[in-house]
Amino acid sequence: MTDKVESPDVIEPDMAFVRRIMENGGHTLKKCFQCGNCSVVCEISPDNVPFPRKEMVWAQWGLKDKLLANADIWICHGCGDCTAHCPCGAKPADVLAAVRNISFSKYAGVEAMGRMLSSPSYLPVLFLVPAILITAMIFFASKPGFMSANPIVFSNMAPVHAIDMVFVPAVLFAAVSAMLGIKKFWTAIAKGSPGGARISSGLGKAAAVTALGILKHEKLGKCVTNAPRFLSHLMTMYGFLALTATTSLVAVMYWINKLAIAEVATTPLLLLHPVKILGNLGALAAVTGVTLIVARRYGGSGEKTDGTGYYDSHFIFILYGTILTGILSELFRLADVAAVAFWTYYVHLVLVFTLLAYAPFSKFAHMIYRFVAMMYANSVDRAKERIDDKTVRL
Amino acid sequence: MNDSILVIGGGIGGMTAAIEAAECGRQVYLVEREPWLGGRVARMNKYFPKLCPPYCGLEINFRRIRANPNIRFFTSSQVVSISGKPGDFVAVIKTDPRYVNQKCVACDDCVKVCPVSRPDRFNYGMSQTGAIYLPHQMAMPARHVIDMDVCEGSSCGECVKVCKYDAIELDMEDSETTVEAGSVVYATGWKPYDASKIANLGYGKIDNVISNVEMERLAAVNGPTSGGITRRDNGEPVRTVAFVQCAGSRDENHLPYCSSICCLASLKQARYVRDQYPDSEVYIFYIDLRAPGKYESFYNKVKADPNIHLVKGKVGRIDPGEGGAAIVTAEDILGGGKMRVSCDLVVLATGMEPTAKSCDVPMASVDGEGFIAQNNQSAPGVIPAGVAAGPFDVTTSIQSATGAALKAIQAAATR
Repeated sequence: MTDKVESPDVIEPDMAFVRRIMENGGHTLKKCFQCGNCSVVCEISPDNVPFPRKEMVWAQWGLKDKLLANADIWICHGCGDCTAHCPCGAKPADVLAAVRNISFSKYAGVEAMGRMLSSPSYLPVLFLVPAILITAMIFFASKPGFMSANPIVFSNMAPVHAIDMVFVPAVLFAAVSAMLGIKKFWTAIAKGSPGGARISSGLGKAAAVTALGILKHEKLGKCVTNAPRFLSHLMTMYGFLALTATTSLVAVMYWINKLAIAEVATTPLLLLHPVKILGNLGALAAVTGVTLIVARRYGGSGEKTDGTGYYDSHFIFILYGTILTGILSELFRLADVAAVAFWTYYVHLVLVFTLLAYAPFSKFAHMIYRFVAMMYANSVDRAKERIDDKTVRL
Repeated sequence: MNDSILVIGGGIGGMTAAIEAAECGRQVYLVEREPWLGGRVARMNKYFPKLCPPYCGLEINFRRIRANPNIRFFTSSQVVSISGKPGDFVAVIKTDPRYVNQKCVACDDCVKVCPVSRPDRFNYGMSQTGAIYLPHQMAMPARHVIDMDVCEGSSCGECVKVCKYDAIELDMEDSETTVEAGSVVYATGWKPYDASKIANLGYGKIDNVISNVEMERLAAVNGPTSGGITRRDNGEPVRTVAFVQCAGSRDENHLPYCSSICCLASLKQARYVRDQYPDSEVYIFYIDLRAPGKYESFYNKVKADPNIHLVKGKVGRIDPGEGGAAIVTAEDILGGGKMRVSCDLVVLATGMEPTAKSCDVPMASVDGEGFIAQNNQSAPGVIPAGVAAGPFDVTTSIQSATGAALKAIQAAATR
């Protein structure tokens, strides 16, 4: 410290932001008495500029800009070790999750969409859009009498080219929104993350290290309190990747046939077709993973470490619904109950649209922001970080 | 109608309440579970802030007890039941056999021949005694006692053979005494919070991690190391010592309240280390350092030592290091970043858990934490004293006990 009188630091608390954190699952934040236990018991918190103690004081003081422009909010995987050891019930894991929830709308590439995903009151509209689009698609593109044709073929109701006409724009919309969000987010964290370390290694390498870490679930693997989350998340993620790959392969196979490049199998695929096997295994993994998540979060096991807010529930149930209707569609088709099978498939399409088109604004986007934040952290030299910010030193 | 007073617990609080009431002319029954009086204070090395030995004050109190015919005290005893109402309580006191009668002169010949050894509870298990032992050097009463859980009994009888005073009775039996009292003072005190429950701090797993009550014994001349503050694994001198504040206190997973004495205890124990080792480095990790009232000057004195480092940040983990060291990790909140210190000895400043939390306290009104509340409606005529009432330091316990004595006299007189 120097002896000369420094200009006073003026802190401008944003009380509305504090309230927003509390409403989004962080209602315990004011209990924090800044002991720093959380930063130590966290297995992934870095040494020089640790979290989540500094985030807790920022949250209490309503320092919105610092919090939202802080990569550490996303380095946190919400495993709850900090909450389990917290002496005063401040639940840092829940507070950080609440800040992440607020980030979804803050960095949303399309601001109106960010708002619509932040509260259940917009849910009917969000479902109505795909419901209308898909109904229109069926109205214009389905084969007449698809309901009574034998065997049941879903592409009679929703031909692949028609599905593509609805879903390709939806995915493009999501992708562009995500890019806009990433740009906003990257600019913010590169400027605003505490520590002042400069990006020191190539971004390509950082991205590769990050991707590998995520595939191995390195961070979740270090979680002690919520150790079962490792398996449930791993199964969900790999299941989802397998299902995405299946859907993409089916589309590719369709266009290969359509454009007469070669001749490959058409849907419905035989159960022993490699792509079908991949899809069914993926569905099995995903449904098991999400069921475990649902059981832990809603099963009333009294977990003090799992705060579940609207964003969490919205994402979990859209994902669960998508997977379950997908599996049921297949089972009803095989059981040859046409009306039930087609209706289930219709619901499945609506849910898939909801999942993909709104991804950058829902909790699905944790995938994007966490990846970017981890990539940032992997590219800066955290060992050179120093806290110069007085607000974290009390 | 009876104006006698039953005081349960023979530590500093119970002794004080008993003496004050007896010196006002009341008949007092003082009941102590251990075979000696003095409680936790007898196991302290020094008091803060004056750093004087507690035995000075304890001796004065022992003398006042011996000199006062109004006090009848029972050691190795527990109150098993209380019935009746204020002014007319009837209590049954069960006394375990000591196996050593009043002829004992504490010559220690018996101990030399005893073939058995047991952990010395007075030293928190850091040393051993025989099955027959003197509770500690200054024990009141100054008589040996036998731990029948480990004694081989008459099949051995070596101690009986060497005792020149016929003081040992291996067939002594327990006894019951019924007393009548107008009021009851609970001075049941405290026990140190079980540090092994704080899993991340390594107590019980890392040798050189000890609790603050153990540190008192290590530093005491009549303790297991004759006052040498040394490593627990190899007995070597210490150089770096860390104190971990709020080890179990102010923590809703353990004791939700501030135990109120641990900050000053650690500041005091930091002085023990610094006085014994001029080159030593001491770290005190805290959430807030609490030195109320006039203790502020003691805090300032300790803080002025450049080798005593006060670090704001709760210790979140203690890991085993190389060569038996214990590595303490905390976030240095004022300095920035995580801090790791490799220590020869780590002292957990464990808090006080009221004894009444884990034993029967008939007629008393106990709060959620196990402290006894004074409640004229639900528990008339029953008065808590000392740490039975709340986490107090010794001075406050004595004040509380003096007040309890007056309340007890009132309660017995006005019913």
